[in-house]
Amino acid sequence: MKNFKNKITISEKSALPIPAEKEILWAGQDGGCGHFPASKSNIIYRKYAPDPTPIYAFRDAVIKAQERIWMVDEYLLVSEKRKPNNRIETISTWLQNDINANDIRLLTKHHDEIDIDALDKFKLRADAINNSRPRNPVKCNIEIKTNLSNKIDYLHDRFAIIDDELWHFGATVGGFHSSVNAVSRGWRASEHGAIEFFEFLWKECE
Amino acid sequence: MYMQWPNEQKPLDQSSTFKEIYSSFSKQLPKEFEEIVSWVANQDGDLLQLEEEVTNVIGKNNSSYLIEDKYLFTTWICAEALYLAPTLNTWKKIKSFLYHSSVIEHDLPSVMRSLAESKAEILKAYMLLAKEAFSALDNDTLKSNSSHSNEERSNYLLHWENNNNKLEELWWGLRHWNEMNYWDEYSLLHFFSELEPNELMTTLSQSKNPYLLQSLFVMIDAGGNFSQFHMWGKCIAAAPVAFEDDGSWNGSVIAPLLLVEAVSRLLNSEQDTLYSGNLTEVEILKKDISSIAKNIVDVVSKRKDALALFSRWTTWLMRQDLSYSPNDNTKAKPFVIDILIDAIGSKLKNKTVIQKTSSDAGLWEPWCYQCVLAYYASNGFIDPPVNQLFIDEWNISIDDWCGDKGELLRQHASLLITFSKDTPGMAANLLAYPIAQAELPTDVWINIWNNIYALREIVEYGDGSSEEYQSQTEASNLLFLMFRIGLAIFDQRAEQCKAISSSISREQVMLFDKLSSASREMREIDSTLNYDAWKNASLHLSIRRCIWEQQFSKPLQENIPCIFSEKDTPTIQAHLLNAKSDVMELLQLLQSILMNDIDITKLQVELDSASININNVLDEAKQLNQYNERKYPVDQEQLKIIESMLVKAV
Repeated sequence: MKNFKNKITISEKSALPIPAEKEILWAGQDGGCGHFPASKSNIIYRKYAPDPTPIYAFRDAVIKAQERIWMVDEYLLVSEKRKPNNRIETISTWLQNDINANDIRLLTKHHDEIDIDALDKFKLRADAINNSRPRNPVKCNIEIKTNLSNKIDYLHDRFAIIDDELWHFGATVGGFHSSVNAVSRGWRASEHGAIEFFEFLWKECE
Repeated sequence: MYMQWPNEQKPLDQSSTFKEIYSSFSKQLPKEFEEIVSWVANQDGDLLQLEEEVTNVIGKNNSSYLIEDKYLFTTWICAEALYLAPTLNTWKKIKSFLYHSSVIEHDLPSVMRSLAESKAEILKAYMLLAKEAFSALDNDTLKSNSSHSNEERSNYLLHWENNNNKLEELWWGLRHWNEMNYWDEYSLLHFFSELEPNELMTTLSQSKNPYLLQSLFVMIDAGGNFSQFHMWGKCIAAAPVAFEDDGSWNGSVIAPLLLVEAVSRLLNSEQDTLYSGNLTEVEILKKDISSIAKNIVDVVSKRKDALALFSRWTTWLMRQDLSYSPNDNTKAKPFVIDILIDAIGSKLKNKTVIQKTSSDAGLWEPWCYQCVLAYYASNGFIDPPVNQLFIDEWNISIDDWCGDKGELLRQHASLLITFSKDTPGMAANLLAYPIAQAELPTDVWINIWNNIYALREIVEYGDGSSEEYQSQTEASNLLFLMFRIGLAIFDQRAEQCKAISSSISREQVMLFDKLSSASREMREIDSTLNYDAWKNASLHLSIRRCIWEQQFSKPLQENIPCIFSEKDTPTIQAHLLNAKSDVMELLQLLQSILMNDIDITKLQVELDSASININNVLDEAKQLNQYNERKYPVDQEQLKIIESMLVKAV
């Protein structure tokens, strides 16, 4: 394609910051830390906790996001404890009225135990956010697609993109899983093709 | 010139070792050999029984060569049995042995081949049996020993039957299909490579099962003559007609599968070299690929359905091409696709090309094909396409939006909107080309923009549906695409502007004014995620306003379009004032202006007249960044550049 090359140069918008160092975090009842569980009792304590604590660093990144919160995980909204509403409630609490991110997308699979009313909580959340900031030029949009596994049978890992930071999860996005699992963070999403890949998945699930 | 695929290798003669063994074996075969062969051909029995029979023979003969090559001897018996009784029943028995013995499975193809090469009647028997097996696979009466493979075949065929976009599925290369599914039949079906291409194509055309055909291509390709380019050429020439004169597909899967195979070979060789090769190797490969692409297109162009085939194939290739963004540094854009598109274009010179997509085309195809025709026109291969249908599609009311017309417009644009990451971008440029080449392009674009007021109403107020945000986003996407088409028209005509007083320059100023008011209006009314895209659109306009003003660019630069006079509105000062309210936007604008080689002293004059103090701007940006670096990210290097170029110039 030789023709129509753009001869005009436009400066890129300054990239949103990501942590200077990449980091690995293990999920734990203390909100996660940078090393494996110190003892078997810690593992057991978490394993049988009624509501495993998410990784706080991820929660905080979501709360402070400026543009984008994208998550891909078949089991994002349902826990192994089979209490889906808890998970939806928890994630909803991260999306408070003062959140700056406007592009919130969750890509997961259908679970019989999650009904439409439960998912509507996210829509209500978006309405509340928009009502609380009528002068904001951009509306906050929270979209959930639950046909991930119907359309895509080749995705194994789970990941999230918060602004321009890629988070890669060994188990559930957010570190909700009760077994020993870790997340790595600090990858620039735009440099690793994560944004294009997420958009590709999103389009495939239409 | 003898043409080859990149990295093409001579077929391996795998049977040579077996030929040597055969010649020594055949001289000293035990007398019981024929009895066991007959037993396999005519009696029921499993592998254990066969092995027992073989062990007995070895025991009786006490022969060292048989002890050493017990499994080869067993394989030999199987191959002879298939000659003695070349029926599907015998083949099913042999297949059950293969299923339980990887050694026999591995050796049987070579043993059968060395037997076939020793006697013409053996080859004939195998060929007949291979054809019978192919028919049985096609009508699903010959099953695999693996239930998983059988289930996979049924599922994929069901998916195929229910698929409304079968041709698209073929272009994708039958995604996720396990080509090795039919590999149990390899020993037999690889004899298809002995057929002359014409006979092969006639035989294969009996089947409409693309999965079986694709797997068969893999089997006859594995190490045989069919991995050679010239055999591919003979096959595509002999493959049944697949497209009618209007471009519609008649359901024949062979030709599309062969084309996919060709592209896949070129792409694979490209990938190998791009990752491991140095610059010289890449250049050599590019030359090789160009030459092969030209040959591929030469052969295809001799087919009866060539023009129709090209219309559908290039649409697919264009889709692939547009899916890559020039700014996307995470994946290299394959040059194979470009080269093939160009090679096809050169074959279309002086030909009457199909002007519109056929009725069976997918909803993404009409606009992609419009891009193909525009691209060929821009290269002088064909005349600019008629695009009235495209323009008419945009004439849409709010009532139309909720009906078929609105749905069609959204579907036609959907793919190009998804692909468009740059402004104006390749797709918008191609869609703009016929308009830019027609009379009064400015009027045409302004008319379209005025006519799509319904889309602006939907963006601002919604369409009253339950999925209001989605409708707003879709309408906004369409408006942004049309804006980019307008900007592309502006860019394409810019180079023809040699003097500000010329009629074309004055027309361009009018178009620019309308583009500017369009972007301002959209920034006011669009609260979807496209808001930032409109901000970016303003930036694009501002840069063009600066660099294409007669007095603004550095003197003595050649080929700089001369469009704007100082007083043309919106002025540079107006653009700076618009950006002034958002310090981050102003910084990006200044940075962009500096990147486009303009006269800094003249920029300083404009900044002064807009009462912009660059020191204050930089201080404010730093303060905001210190207050919240996530919300107000600043690239320190960019600040330094602005500081060094503008502050020092004061």
